[in-house]
Amino acid sequence: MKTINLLPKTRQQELRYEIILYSLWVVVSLSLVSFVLVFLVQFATKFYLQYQDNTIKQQVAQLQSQVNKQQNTEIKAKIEAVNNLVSDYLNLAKSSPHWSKVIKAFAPLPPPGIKISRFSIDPGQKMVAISGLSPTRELVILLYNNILQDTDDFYGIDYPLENVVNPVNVSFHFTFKIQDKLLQQ
Amino acid sequence: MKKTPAKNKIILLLLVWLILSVAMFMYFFKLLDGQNRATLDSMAQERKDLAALQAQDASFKQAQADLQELAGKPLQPENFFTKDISLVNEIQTLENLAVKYNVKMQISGVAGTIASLSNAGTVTPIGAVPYGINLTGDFFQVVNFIESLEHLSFITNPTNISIGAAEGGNVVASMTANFYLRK
Repeated sequence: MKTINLLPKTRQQELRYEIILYSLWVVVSLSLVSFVLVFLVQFATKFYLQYQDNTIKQQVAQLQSQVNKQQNTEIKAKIEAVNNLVSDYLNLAKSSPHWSKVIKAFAPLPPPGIKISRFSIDPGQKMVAISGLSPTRELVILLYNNILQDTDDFYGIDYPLENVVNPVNVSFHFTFKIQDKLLQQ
Repeated sequence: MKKTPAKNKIILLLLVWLILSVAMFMYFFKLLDGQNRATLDSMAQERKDLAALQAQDASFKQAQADLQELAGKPLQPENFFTKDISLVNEIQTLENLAVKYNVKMQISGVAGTIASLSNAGTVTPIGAVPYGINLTGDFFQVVNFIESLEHLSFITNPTNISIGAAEGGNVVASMTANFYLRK
């Protein structure tokens, strides 16, 4: 069925504009409501944040006065003094290796019959110097081999050849270095 | 009065809506958003300060508890280093060790005054008192003595150890070491 509009063209146009105007009113009204809503939410957020901000500021101020109390300053000074003493004690205790471990590591190495007349430790170079007397050359070589094989504890043996010139009644001396791990406490 | 045509009303309404939108988005929303962001930034900083202060406060409380616990310990840190210039306790301890291990001990070279002591290179003012110690006895007892010396309650670091043969199958051990005195 065909609808025939008998109104004049201008009136028809005017009616179309009025429909658009009505729709526009709806859109503008909705926009306005949403603007007001967003504005109110922002405003509420602002007050909420300011309230939170003030609460935190109060907490900070309260803690600040608590932390800066005279009693805490005294505790800080006491702790610092104790820490300094403890760290000094530990540093001094660590500053010197336990040389008894070196002596104990060396003790089983000389073969029976050999006499060690001097055993010296040079702490600076971490070096041991020994001298002694052996009834035979073989025993001196055996001592040399024993130290050489104890790589866990010693290394870098300096072994003068004059140690083995005489076959009997050998007066010997040599030096060797101490492994760092033996000196670690 | 002439009625305003609908077309003009549309244009007017659109114009008003546009102005309102621009005002809201470019000014009011932006203004409040800026203020809220500034408050949030300030809150973030304050929260950081608060966390730091809370940690500091907790640390003080822990420190106080630690100090109380430390006060109940038999050995106090202030006793780690003696203030007794006569070093009576230290020498007595060494003499007791010598008796315990049946070695003959001789201490030498203890000299100086508290003012003349060289600093031990520590944070707290601690002076080093160098001394020499000679031990004569059975090899294993001498080694036990040295080992005990390294584990005393006070520090006396032995250095420059030298062991030699002595009469009767004994050995003689010479060492240098330090006593430490709190100035």
